[in-house]
Amino acid sequence: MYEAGGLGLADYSIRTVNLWKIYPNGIQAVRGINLGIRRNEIFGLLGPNGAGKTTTLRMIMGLLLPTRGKIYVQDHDVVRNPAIVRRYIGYVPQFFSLYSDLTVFENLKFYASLYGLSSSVALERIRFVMDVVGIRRYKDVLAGNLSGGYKRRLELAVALIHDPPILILDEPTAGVDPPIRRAFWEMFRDLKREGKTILVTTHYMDEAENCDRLALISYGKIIAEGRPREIKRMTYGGDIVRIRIRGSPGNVIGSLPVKEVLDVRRGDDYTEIRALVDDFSIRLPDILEYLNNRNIDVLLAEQVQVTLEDAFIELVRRAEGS
Amino acid sequence: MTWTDRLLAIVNKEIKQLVRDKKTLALVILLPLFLTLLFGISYAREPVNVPAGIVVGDSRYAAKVVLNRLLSDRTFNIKYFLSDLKTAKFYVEKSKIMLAVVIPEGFTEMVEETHKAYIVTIIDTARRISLPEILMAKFEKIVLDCEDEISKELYMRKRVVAKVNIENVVDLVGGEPSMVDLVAPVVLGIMTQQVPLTLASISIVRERERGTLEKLLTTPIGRIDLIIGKLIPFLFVGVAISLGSLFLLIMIGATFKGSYIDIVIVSFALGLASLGVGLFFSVLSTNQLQAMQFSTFFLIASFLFSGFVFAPEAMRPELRPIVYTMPLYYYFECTSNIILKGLSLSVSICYLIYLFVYAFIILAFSFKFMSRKLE
Repeated sequence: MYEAGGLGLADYSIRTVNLWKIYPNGIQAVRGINLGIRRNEIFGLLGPNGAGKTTTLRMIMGLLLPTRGKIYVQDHDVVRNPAIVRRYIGYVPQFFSLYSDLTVFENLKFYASLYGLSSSVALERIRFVMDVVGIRRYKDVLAGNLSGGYKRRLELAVALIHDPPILILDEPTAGVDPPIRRAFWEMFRDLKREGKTILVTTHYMDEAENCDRLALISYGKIIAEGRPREIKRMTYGGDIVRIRIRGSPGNVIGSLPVKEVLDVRRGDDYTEIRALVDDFSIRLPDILEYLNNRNIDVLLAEQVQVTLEDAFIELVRRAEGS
Repeated sequence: MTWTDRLLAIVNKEIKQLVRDKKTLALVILLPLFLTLLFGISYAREPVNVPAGIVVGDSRYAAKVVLNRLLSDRTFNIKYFLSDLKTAKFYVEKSKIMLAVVIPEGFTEMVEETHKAYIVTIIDTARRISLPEILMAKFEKIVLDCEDEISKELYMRKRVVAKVNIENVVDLVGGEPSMVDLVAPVVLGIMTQQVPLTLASISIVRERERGTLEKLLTTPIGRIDLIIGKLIPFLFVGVAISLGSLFLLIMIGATFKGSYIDIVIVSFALGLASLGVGLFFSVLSTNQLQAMQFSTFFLIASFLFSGFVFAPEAMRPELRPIVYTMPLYYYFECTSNIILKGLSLSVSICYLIYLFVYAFIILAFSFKFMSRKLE
């Protein structure tokens, strides 16, 4: 929530207040979303397909009218001033959206004209953005003849052509090879260093770790929000430990000094227990002492590294369950 | 799996896709049937109410027989009683009427003295492809009926038994145009209409299908600016095609007596109207296939109902308004005078105004709906 953290309204590039989108067929794509995207941060929007991510982005862009709620971009009401808001945003849609039958340069020139850049400024910006995304050597190549990765670079270059303070990227690395994905995220970090605010949606959980903050959306609602580490810890309410003991645990499981036993798996001559503790570093010695006192042979005791994907799946599962 | 199974799989898939998309299905099946039915209903009769004029140079009984026959015949709508042959010809030349009949001075006297007389028929051959022949045949029949009736009158009044013979002297305004002369305005009109119309109809849906529209809409450009910017090149393409086609038609021997500037002006008006219709189809379509189907059917409708190939005078009066929804109708009314008669555009100025009004109405309507669709 944007009210948190003692920040003022002016500290946010994008704010949504109780945002709803109900389509004429009754589908509630977005249900009361409150987002506060701070200036100069990379904010990730995660969620399964159909969760409402793209609908939210399209409302922020002014492409869709919200059914209820408010959206502010740089403190301008999107619904009232869509033309002003569009000048602040560079947008990379989910799918290739440029002209295949125009060259890289022609696409950039065209969009520079739409944003009202004079010829000299446009040429300067075109050279600059081509260098930023590393596409200059392809400037005379038809956009349709570029590889998938370079098409996405061109999309990013076009989004940057008018030097917007905000970038909205809808699955910017979808269908792109891992090395190029890495290069893209380096570019995003560079852009952030230059002062840009970036709102990005992605399906790649490893990529999401690069975001400063995240919001997880499920069924049109935000189910978690925060830094990636916070979300992982918040998901389970602590750390997860894995303990493997020789033989059967007998009746000790119920009295283990843990918050909750998550699951117990039995092997041929061992038993593996996954349990939740408030803090791994404090609780592990207690657990080992407890088991030693009962003459139970501990084969392995370690912290389970919870990935964002684990947290994501768990949170979505809970949201679906509720 | 045999090749027939594979073939059937494709056929099956195509049918499923066709049936699933209700709008495409309606366009593919219902629209052609509707057009055919409409054409059948509209033209299943002889021409009626063809605008005509008459010069009555004789007030005695034989002339009255001809006059009454003409007045009672549904084919002709006698709009003007004219003073002389020169005026009658002027009215036909200026396309105020399709046909004029001149009953000369001393008509009855000729009948009484020689049992022979003549009538002058002035007919416009430059405006409709098949109508002049139909009208001539119809008038010939009227003349034959008149001969019988006048013969009877002659016996009753003068006790003279004689077979009266009336010669029909035909004056063809527009000469005897060759087929290429008659078809040239049609080709010109169709080309000028269809290219901008088709381009306009697919332009917005193509942007949408290619995925380029969403990106455009995120720029500060206004919806109306976007639509206008997309349409302007098509208008110039339409006018350029019109002039290009005209030069080609002249090269292959078509008659052209008018002014190129006039053709440019009318083509510009038709181009505007075509863009409006095309944009309207773009509003109705959700994909390029539907837009192309709308354009194709409009092309067929233009052939059937624009009045050049099939005369509107042969339509049922209650269905004749269909003709007025076709921009090509107004175009033909202007260009047939320009191309074959060499008349100035000022003669057809009302049709030009109608065409511009048509264009602005359809454009305003389509702009409104398209900009709403883009929101």
